[in-house]
Amino acid sequence: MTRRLRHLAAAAFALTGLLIVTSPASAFESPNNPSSGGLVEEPKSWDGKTIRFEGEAVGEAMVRGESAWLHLNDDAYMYKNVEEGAPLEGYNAGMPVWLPAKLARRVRVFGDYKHEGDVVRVTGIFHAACGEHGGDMDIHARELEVVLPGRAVADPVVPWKLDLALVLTVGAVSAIAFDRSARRRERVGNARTRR
Amino acid sequence: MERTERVEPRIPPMTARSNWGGYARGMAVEILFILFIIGAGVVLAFVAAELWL
Amino acid sequence: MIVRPRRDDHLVIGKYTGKVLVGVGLLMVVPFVTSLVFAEWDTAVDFLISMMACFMFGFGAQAMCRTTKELGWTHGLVVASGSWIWATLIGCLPLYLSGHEGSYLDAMFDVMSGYTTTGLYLLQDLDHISHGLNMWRHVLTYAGGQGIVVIALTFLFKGTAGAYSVYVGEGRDERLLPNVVHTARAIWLVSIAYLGAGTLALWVSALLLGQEPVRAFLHSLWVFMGAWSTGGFAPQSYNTMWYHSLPHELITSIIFIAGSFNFALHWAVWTGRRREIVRNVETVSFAVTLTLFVLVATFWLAKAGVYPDAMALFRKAFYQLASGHTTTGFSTIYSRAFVTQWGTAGLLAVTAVMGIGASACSTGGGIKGIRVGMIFKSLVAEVRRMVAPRSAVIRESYHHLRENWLEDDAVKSALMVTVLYVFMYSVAGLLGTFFGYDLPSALFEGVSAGSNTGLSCGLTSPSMPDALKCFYIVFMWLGRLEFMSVFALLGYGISIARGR
Repeated sequence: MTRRLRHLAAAAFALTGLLIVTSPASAFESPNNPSSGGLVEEPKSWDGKTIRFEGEAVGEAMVRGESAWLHLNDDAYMYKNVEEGAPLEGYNAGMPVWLPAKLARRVRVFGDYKHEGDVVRVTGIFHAACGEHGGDMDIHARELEVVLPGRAVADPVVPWKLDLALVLTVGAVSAIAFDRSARRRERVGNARTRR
Repeated sequence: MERTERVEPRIPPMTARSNWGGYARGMAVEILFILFIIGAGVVLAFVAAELWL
Repeated sequence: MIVRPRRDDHLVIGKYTGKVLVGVGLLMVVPFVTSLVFAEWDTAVDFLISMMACFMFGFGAQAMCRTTKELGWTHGLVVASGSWIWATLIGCLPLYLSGHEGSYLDAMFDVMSGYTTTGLYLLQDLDHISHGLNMWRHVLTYAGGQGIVVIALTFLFKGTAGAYSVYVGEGRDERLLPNVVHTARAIWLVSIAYLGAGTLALWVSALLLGQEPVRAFLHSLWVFMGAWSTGGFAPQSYNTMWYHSLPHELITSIIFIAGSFNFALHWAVWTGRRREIVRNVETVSFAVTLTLFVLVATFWLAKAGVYPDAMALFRKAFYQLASGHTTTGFSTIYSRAFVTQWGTAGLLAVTAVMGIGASACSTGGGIKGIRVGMIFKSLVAEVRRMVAPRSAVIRESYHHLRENWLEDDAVKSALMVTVLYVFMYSVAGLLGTFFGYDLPSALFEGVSAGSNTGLSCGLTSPSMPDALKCFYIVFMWLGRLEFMSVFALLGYGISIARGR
């Protein structure tokens, strides 16, 4: 009885050991002072001040009339993202930027799965709770320059994944066949006993 | 498997009685009710904010 | 004496768990096709691997566990709670293979968070993930909202007598229709009707907000799934902050509040009993507690002077509170802003509504409105009894689909579950402090995990201690399944080890 319990505990312990292989802690330093994280930590002390902020444009520019929303990430993936093989160094971090639409149009490439976006630098006023935008934390920028143009990113299929997929497909097909035959055998067995 | 089928009462499938007009009206009623909750919240919060600010 | 389960018991559990796994594999067809459409080959291969793993284990289990034994009550509970573990272990394969997760544990955390519609995540570089992977995150939270067992019930179980116990095991106890399989289908009907209407509304608004059509559609679909299932996953790391829009906030609020309603209530209203919505104990309880806590938070935030005007103040207070109360987890502020802007009182107000949570038999979590309503009513009855003459007979009733007398048994079970939740919340909060976080933040994050909300004040991150990640996974699981079926699983494990 106790031996069985001990076995269960040992199995659980081994499983946990297998699961936990964690990456090292973040080493990336944002080029900005204050960084987006710094702004969120001390919103009051930066409120209303003019700041310079640099980051990778991600997603899209949402043009609304004369102005547009841009989202600039100053995180570990601003120069190279995970799909290109950058190491994992924590969450994304960034700031929304509200700026004239004609400035936003200068951004050519936006960061997503297939792209590493343009790195741009904006200068503008930081709002801890912007009255114009329902209390959002944002930067209202007047200037924008593209620091580093973005690029397309390829995420090729890793060969071992294809092999694994093939092996598992064979496994799945045989499991289905096995299940089918087991079911048929059972039905025949049932029919016999009923007779 | 087949043997257990009989345990559950046989009920006509739900789709036989589908009433899409009724469903749509039901959804409209729900949305109105939610808007009412939000509206009540807006009014109360504005009163509260006015009292304080 | 504890009776050790027989071979047949293991077989019947294995057989139905296999069916649920096949269901998870079928769900992966959606993201698989998505990644093919967008030519994301590496992601497509990840999904092929995971799908085939599901089919291999699912069909393999069914083939090996041949039995004519019927699904009993305990089996149902064990299948329900156990299949959530298996579905998590295999369902996280695509996330792990994508290379965006720090460890297998992180991937499991995200998938458990998705299934339980929590919304906390450990995935890194979310802004650079493929459409296929984003589709999977949102499909699994949408599916988890209805219940992964409900899915299997809908498509894979044939009118089995014991099916009801699996359904109950998933934290559900309402029969919308006499037959549990039809109930599962009715739940799907409501969810899919809302999916159509909600996605369309969000799409129109997203186009007006300046997104290009295809992206707007994907975002609308995902945001709908995150909102309706009260999940809280969003396609961008900025969450709802990405959209900077009042109409968007209004539409998502409607969707997640509707998602937090009891499916039995939806069904009653949809089939013509419209007055139910204003009389139901849960909607009344929800409206009262939400308004109360919005007022508290508004007062506090006005006093602290965080927001410049009344409109901004209300938008922020209402959205965060409604999102917390429905256990969704969407937010229009930065996680850390809960600490740096909202302060302790704000944190505690959100913690309280998260703890109360949504309605029973909805996609939401937490203690649930019906229990809060019943406990409140029984308190009123107790006070009335105290002041009434000794000979007076005092009975309270509550309205849920019909007028129900408040019986002692029902109050007892409501109180018991509430006590279990409160106990879990306290343990979650204390554990956070053991790992060196301050109590308000630890409590906020712990309640957020245990009530399946997913709002974060910055404590959850890929670099948090692994032990705490494990605890949060367990809290999410316990909270979603409402304890009982997990206890049944534990009991089953103990009876294997110690039974005769």
